[in-house]
Amino acid sequence: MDRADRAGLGVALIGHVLLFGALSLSLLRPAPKLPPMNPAIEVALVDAKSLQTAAPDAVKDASAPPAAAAAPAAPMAPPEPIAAPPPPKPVPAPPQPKAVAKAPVKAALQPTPKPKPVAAQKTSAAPPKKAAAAAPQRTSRLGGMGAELSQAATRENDRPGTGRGTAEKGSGTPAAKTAAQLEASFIQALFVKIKRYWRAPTGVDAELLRSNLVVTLNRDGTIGSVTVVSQSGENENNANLKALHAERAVSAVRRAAPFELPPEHYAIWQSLGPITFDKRLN
Amino acid sequence: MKMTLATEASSLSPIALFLQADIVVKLVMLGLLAASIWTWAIIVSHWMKMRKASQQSATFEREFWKAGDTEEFARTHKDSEVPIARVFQAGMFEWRRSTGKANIDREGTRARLATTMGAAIAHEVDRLGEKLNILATVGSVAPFVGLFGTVWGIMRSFSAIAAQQNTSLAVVAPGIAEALFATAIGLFAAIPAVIAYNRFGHGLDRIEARMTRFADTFHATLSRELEA
Repeated sequence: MDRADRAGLGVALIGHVLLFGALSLSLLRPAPKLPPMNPAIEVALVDAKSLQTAAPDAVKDASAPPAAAAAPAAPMAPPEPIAAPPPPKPVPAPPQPKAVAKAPVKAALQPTPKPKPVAAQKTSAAPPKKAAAAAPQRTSRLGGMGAELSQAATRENDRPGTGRGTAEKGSGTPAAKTAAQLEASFIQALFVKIKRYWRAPTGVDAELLRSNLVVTLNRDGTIGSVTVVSQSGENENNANLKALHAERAVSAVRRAAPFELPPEHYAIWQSLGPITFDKRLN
Repeated sequence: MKMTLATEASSLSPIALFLQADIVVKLVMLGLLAASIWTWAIIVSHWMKMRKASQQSATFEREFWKAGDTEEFARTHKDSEVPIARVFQAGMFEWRRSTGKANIDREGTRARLATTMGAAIAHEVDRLGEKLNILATVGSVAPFVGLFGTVWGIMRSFSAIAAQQNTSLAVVAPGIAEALFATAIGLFAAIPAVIAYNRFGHGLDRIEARMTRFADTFHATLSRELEA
């Protein structure tokens, strides 16, 4: 080891000690500056198939009923005559009292379709039959439901063919939903919450089991009752899991409560089901 | 600035990373640190030697071509340590031996002069470059050694995950950081070694070329003397 080697070793040693010392003492690191915290943003995960806006489209609804087209004078007619004077009534008597009772509410919501019976009776003999056919259907469905539901029912009635097909074809607006569609969307909304608590039992053929539950809800979204109405997919392998499957389904619903559903549709989600619980829950 | 020894895991402090590491990883780190120190010691000493050799060779050549009497010049530079001077001494030694006899074999003398000076050049190049192979070894092996330490450390981290049944990043991160530090040291040692090896190899080639040039010219001079 000559002079150059010793010098090299000394320089290398001192350099390493200095570098590692500086790193250890945090000399090469600026004091950590904490980045400003962003305010927390609340995020809710919503299922793709959950509730859509169910608000009625006023413009479309006003022009939709064919009865209004048949009688051009109808929109101008004031709605009061219906509520006040019952005398000019060609329509069948039995459903009429119900219609009268509900008329103020209905009139406040939808002024245009209401005068239909009167206008139809004035103009010709043929339309009253149509209106008469529509009227009982509407009145029978009116109890507590939203206005757009009766709209959908009316249209369903006006067209030939299956109810579902016409509802899809004839609606054009998101508002026009049948009760079945609304109920399905409420069930989807429930699933979003229930999924967090639902753990299907595991075991041989456990994935084949299905439990059908009917859930009744109170107006504030709490559970009224949960009943298992039926079970399917049972075989000799998973028979012992059947009770556990039902029990877990019931407890998942109970733990997911309360649910927040639109109060104006309480009539629909008062009792939901049968809801099928399978392994994936969708 | 606060002068605290950073030993918490979140800091990039080498001390903290070293202290947390497994014994195998610690050994790897120490070995690589020693390799790094050795590499730099070689780099510094070799750089000093090469610079000195190159400067002294230039001075020697200049003086040699200025000097009128070769015998006189050889006497004054008899114990010189300069590489090119040693080539010159080897040539002079062979010249004296070959021309000391009564009848001179000219062809044989020329061949012997060329051989001895070529051997002297090879010896000097060997002597100058004796430690370059260490640089080459460190440059090619240190990354693998560091990688070994990293793999070992990560294996340990994963077994820690398995033992704790917990996959949160807080459990994994310190082990991974300390393991990766081994690769970092490996690269820290290897990169200067590879660069220095290539640079010094090139410098050595240049010195060898300069000595060969000098030897050829000197050989031509001696050949002319033989014919006279």
